[in-house]
Amino acid sequence: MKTICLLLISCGLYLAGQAQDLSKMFEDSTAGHQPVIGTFKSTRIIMGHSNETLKKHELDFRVAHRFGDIGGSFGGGKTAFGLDNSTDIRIAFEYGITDDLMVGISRAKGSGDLSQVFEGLAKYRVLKQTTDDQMPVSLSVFGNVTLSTMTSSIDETSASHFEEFTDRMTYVAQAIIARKFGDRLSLTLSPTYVHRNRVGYMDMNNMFALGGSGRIRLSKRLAFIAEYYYPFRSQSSKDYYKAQGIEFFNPLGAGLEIETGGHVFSVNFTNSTAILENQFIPETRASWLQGQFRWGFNISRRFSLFSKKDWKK
Amino acid sequence: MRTYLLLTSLLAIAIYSCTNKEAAAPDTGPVVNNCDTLQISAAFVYGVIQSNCTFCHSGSTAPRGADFSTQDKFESFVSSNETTFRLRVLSAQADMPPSGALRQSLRDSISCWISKGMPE
Repeated sequence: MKTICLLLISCGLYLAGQAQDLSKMFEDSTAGHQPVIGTFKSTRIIMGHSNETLKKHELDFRVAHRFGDIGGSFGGGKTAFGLDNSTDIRIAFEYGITDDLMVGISRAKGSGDLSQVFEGLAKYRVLKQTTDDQMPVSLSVFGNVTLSTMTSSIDETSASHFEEFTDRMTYVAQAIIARKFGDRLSLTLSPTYVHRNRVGYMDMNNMFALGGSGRIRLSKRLAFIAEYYYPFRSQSSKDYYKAQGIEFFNPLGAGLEIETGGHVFSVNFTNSTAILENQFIPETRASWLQGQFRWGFNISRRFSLFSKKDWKK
Repeated sequence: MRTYLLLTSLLAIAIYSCTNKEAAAPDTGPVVNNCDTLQISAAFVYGVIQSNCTFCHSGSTAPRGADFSTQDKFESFVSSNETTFRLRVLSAQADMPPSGALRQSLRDSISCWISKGMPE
């Protein structure tokens, strides 16, 4: 592990030195090829990330909320179809360091084994689709680290029983491959890796998942969005939890995205109770077919922190 | 340049702190698939409540009036607030106890006991 870290730092030093030259090289190679813009309207689709990044010096204030089950045993009229409960809430500040690199911090209530979660994230746009198909797809890479600040469980068999500080941490690494087809349709494919330092018995520390999403523009300001993740959980883990009466389901969401000058407002329905990838990919236990889906929303408000004149300084 | 270096250093620290730990196998508790034939006593359930809940939920200052300081008071609360109790303690989205939901076998056992009318 130490060797990997040393290698990474060495690579970082090298890349930092070469960063400007690399940027120049990409500019030269894509000269004359117009990049496709607005593949998605926001940096998020429903649950996961889109390929989009914030512009340089742009601050994005985001609020996401997931309510309780609409139907099933815990939904219905007695809970106002889930409105009386919140399964997860996330508040985030994200910032564009360059037009292609963004970072962010957030706090989420958390839903699943861990709660009271802080998150640090970074996303880098590696490739941009061009209008003449010289580059047929866009590619962004996203990564985050989360830290749970909840009180450690006294139950040693629980995933939330923390013996060391690092037991509170989880990670996600994701590549987002996106393509915009014409004016109306955008699709993504997102190979994802989730690592959790401490998990429950027979759960998986390392899990791969494949995400897919789409956006269909219905009018100038309104679009239909949908997203799905397929986590690759091992059969032995599935069997063990099934014997305990726990079944895992694949996260699926659908909703409408409304753009209103500076705001992007997404109203959605998902079966996953959590907002962070670190939780909704490995820990979704709610099923659409049993009425365990919920209303949720994502609100994004962007601020330009400096005028264009200041950028040049 | 400083930004790239900082981000790479943070990434290195994050990877350095990666571990692979798995919790010990839990005591599986009673099998929950056959609630009709299960014998779950009120004393067993109240023992679980005492170990996990009465630290906060006891006396006149108990949150939301959920006083579990005696078995009678606990049963009385559950009788009149069954939906809330199930939602916050027994459901998949349980948020009580705040240190982490009870393990599934215990939640299922308590749920079964309530469904059978909280027998002694």
